[in-house]
Amino acid sequence: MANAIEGGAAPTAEAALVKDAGTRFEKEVIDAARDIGCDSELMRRLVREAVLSAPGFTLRGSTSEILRGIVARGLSGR
Amino acid sequence: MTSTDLALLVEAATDLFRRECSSEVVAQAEREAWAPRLWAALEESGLTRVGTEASREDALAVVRVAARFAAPVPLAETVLATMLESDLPERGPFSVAAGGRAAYGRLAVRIVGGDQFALTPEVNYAGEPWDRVHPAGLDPMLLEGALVRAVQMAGAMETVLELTVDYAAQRQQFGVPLNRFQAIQQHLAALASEVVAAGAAVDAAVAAPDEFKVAVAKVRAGEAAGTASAIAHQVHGAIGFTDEHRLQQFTRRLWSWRDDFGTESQWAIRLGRLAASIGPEGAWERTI
Repeated sequence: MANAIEGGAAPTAEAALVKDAGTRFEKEVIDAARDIGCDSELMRRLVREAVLSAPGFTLRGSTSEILRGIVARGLSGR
Repeated sequence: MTSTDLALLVEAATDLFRRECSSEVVAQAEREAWAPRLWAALEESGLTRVGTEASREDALAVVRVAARFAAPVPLAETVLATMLESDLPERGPFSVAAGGRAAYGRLAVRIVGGDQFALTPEVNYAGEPWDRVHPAGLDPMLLEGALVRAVQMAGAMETVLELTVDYAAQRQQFGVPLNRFQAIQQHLAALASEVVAAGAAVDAAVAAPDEFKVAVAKVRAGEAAGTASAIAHQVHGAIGFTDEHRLQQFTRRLWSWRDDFGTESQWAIRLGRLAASIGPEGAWERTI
């Protein structure tokens, strides 16, 4: 993607796809951290911060629903 | 109590919370770590003694109503304490120590689970007192505790569904209400099925709280709490986690309660072992 932008292209659908996949992964990491358990004070604090800020991941910088629309249009060549 | 009496109790409790437990009251309690007026109103109505004066089903029905309003008072803890111990002072609030925590411990006239506790004040995700206690008290996966939290999650999720459906009907985007978009409709349907499935599991556990049914309820409600909160925030957009909107008062409670008295993963392991030990027929018998 960096190369495409460097070359003057605008990889809109690709960017949307990466952001959607990335935020989904972010949420999975938090679920995994909860599952592992929060025995240390540091872990507890980090999980707390992550759980409380997670809703924003799939909203800011365009919601997942909007991003997926962009990806789908890109795939259909529109 | 007959089912009519139960309906009347739920109605009376709902009226009281609607009157005394606005989102401003919840927000103020979070700032000041206590809602004395709400507790006094509950005392006066007799609802704080529902654990000793009514059946388990009735008491848990009131706990569910309280959770529908995100009531920032130790009503659930007080009911839980009465489920565990009969020899309690006449007036609460009470708390229960388990796994090194006692929710609302600092406000309790009695903490079940030991005689003397050293208490360090802390709060949960929702800013409710969630005090560290030493010694640790009862089993961290206390069965009655898991049941009470599952009931609370069911109640809070009912409001989350209501708020989300209302918001999707009112909020306009691109000139039409949000609920006209298929993506939003899919979210609303998925949210409703989570809330209904969790509610059914919780109803079954309240009616017959054996280890199997409580495990099912805690796992199902805990999973639903995560999914429902995520969907509700997604539909609400950024407004949902601002101080001005009530949604976060419920979702932050859900994120705390799903971890209390054992996470859904911990209860799933226990449920799996139990199912394996009773065999296929036994497990089916208990599920239906």
